[in-house]
Amino acid sequence: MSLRRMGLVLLAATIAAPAAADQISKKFDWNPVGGVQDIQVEVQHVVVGQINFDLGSTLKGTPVRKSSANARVRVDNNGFIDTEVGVAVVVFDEEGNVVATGSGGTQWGYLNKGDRAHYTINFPYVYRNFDRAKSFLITLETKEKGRKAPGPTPTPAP
Amino acid sequence: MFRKLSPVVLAAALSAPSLLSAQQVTKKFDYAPVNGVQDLKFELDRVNLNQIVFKPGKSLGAGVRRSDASAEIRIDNNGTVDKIVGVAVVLFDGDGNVVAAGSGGTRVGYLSAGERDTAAVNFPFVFRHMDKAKTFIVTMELQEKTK
Repeated sequence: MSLRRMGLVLLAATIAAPAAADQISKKFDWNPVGGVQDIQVEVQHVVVGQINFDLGSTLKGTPVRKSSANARVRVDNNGFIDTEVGVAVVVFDEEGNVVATGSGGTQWGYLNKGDRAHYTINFPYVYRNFDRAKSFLITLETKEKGRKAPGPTPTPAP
Repeated sequence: MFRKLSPVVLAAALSAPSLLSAQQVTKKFDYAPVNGVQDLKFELDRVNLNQIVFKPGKSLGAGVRRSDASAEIRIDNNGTVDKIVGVAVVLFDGDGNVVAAGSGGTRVGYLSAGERDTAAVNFPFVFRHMDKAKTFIVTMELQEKTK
């Protein structure tokens, strides 16, 4: 195989190589001021820079049990590629119980390069001990435009 | 007067803090479902979580990024008191990253004494690495019916 042909094959393989979504998790002490806490979680130039916790409420005197508790995260795409974004938040008490959890992110299309978005993460069913929060875990999951999920590993030819 | 009071009462009801203390317990499990199904042994105040069914999903397509990934948890109230039940499920990969997280539970009323229910927990936005799950934690939150 000529050097040029080998180079083309390598280039094609690089372009076609399926890449999984990227992900990072980071834990923070619970320390919001007026519900707002600055944080820094970054993957592929996509940054979660702030989270705003809302302890929410329920409709008292009704049989509805869902709560309006939520967190709102600010996400900046500081990169050069439009990206799908997912953010998971897990809030723990001192004993490691989950007092609230959920996920939010891109509903439709992409978070375009250079853009900022706010995603709401609802905590509808586990929220009653939210006031005992001591720490929280943020996971940021991104998938750049044009990337595909990894396919099955091919069986080597005999 | 009544017309004036109603919005006030409604606003007060809406804004009232809902953080009544509730019983809670958390347990960690290895992720080992067979065809998506995994038996659990998990009890708090005679409410049992005894099975979880994982349903890894994918984006709904056509530009929609939400996924249909979910889990269903079977809840038995073997006690003698009606209860409100909340369940949180968080899946982790081998590195401690969250690969799925969500909550489910009683939507309306109570899980009556002696009854069984299934709580659906959706994982709409963080789901792309669910196949790498190694462990998961389940938190059950209970609130008894007040007499």
